[in-house]
Amino acid sequence: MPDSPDVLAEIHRILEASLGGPPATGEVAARDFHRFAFAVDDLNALYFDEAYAKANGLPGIIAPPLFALAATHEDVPLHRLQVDGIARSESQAAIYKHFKRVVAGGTEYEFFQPLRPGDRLTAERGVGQIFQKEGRSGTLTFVESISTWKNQRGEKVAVQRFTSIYRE
Amino acid sequence: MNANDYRKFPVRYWDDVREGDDLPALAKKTSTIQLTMYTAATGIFHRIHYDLPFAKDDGLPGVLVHGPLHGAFITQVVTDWMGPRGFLKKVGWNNRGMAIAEETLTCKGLVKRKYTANSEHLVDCEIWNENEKGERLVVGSATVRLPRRGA
Repeated sequence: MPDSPDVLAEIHRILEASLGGPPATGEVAARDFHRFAFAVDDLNALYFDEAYAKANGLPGIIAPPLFALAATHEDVPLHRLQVDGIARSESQAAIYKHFKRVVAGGTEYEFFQPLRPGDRLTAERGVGQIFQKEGRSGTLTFVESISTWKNQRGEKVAVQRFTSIYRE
Repeated sequence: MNANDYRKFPVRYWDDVREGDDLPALAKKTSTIQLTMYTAATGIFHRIHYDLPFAKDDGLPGVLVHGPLHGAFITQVVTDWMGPRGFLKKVGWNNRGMAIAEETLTCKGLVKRKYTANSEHLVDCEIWNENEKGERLVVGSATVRLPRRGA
């Protein structure tokens, strides 16, 4: 077992440094969210049909709500992908060396308004709670990260709280 | 894309919702093609989701359905049900088990609570999916705002 308080402090420091950098940005493009909707096989007409969207009180088509994350995903060149296809930052690698495995814990989204084509999003990211629990197979370390998306008018669009579970 | 492929849903009014109502279930037959499409659409290229030999070397029985794709499937149960005038305020889930390509996931929902808060007419739903053995692989909840009749 890594020495708990020290490891928690180190995780917090490393994540704060990497997540606290410049926010990720991205534009909501209809072509991109259509690809997302096709991949989920979610063909809701609100995402495709202007007339239907307008008839239902919207200014026009909207993106699927969960597209927010993809809209501000930072693409990386091929050479930065590791053999498993993941682009891990040095800071992430520094955390992972303490643990055997990292799995997704929980995901929570809150939405404040629909995403519209042409919206320019910024995603500010930060570290939420970090805590440990004793599991059957050893200590589990829970690490929460929080992303807040705002549009070009500075209005809050969505918040995501994502918990990773680090197993020793 | 043929306009006939788009799916239109009736307006869902808060007045008509009852606690205990089932949301219509949605069957998702997953495939390597779908996982590859989702990989491309999200820009996350983890090989366990599309490269079978790599996934098997990693100890998996097949290519793995992305955790957030499970979430997108159960979210769709809610967005289909709430209709074009509903607004998804919150959705969340916990991934409990894994699925591999070609499995069919049946996505379900249930109305847990109907209430008013800050002049909004809201409904809380429980949502989850099940594999062919009936195991729940993802469980979550959602809160939607619905219109009132005559409003």
